[in-house]
Amino acid sequence: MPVYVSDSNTGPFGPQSIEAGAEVRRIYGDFLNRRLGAGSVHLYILKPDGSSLTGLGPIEAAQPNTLKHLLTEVIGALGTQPGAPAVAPRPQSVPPKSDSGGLVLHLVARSASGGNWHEFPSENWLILSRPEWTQLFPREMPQTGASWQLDPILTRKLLGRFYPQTEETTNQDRNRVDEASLRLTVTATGAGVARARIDGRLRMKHSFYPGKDSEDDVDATLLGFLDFDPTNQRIQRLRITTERATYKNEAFGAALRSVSAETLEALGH
Amino acid sequence: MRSVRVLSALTVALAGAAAAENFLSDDKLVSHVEKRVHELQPTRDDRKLDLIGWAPDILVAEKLARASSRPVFLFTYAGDIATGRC
Repeated sequence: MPVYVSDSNTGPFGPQSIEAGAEVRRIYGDFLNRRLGAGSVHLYILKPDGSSLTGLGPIEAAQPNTLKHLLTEVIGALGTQPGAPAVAPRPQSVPPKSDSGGLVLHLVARSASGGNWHEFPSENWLILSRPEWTQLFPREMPQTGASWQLDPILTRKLLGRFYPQTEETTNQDRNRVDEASLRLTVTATGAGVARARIDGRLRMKHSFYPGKDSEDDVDATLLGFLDFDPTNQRIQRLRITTERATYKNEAFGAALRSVSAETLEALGH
Repeated sequence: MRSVRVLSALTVALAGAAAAENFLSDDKLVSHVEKRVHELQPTRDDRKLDLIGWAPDILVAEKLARASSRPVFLFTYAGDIATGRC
């Protein structure tokens, strides 16, 4: 029965119950007492009755053959029978619930190279409130060529996760933004809707490890567009992506996109 | 009766037309950006985590483990694994 638990979810302010947090701490303590190995980042295997059985540290657990060998041994010893998952698989990265009127944005950021920390992309969900997203465009139909600079606070919110995977043990913002700009320029209008090209620049320090201050810098040029209906105050599409981007002098890519109501509905919203 | 039906159909059609949203056709900029966005999206391979039926918390996992006579696979960590940032 697979389950993952972040210590940020089981603390006093985490989304999981106090009882769930207490049970994880009980397991941790029991593994320690029985000298079965334990850690904050660790794989624990329990018997069906919840008692401690065995485990692996994170480095060993990340080795497919080592993990497969351990799990094969466990199911052999317990006589576990194959069967359908007890919990239906579902997407793990899902948008948070937002108030009606919020604009849901999805960010993907990935390193251009492979290797450790770069095996898969990171995904973040961002919600802009109506007062925030209505700052993106004017209230009246602009003319082609009209141009405006986005509010700095909103710009930082949009670009705050434009970096590839780094160690993130909390949600604390440790960015030092040296330059963040997004300029919108109308390139087309018609039938009540307009399109603005987005040109941006980001220079930002984001130390790879929390608590280990270092000059790990993001340097990116950005390109995107916004399709909007100023009269009815609607956003049709917002896209911002990296044209050229480096983090610690290594190439990465990031893409921020608005998520349609249809997609949100399909994700259970 | 026929005119009522025609009128009803016309009303529905007009209501639909009024509700229809206008869109600008894609141009070179849009195609370029959308291609870039698409290239960066997670692939099926990237989302193997989604193929596993994860229990929502340890208490549910233990309850289901007892009911199905299966062991519990508990992975603990710091951060938020669903974002890929931890």
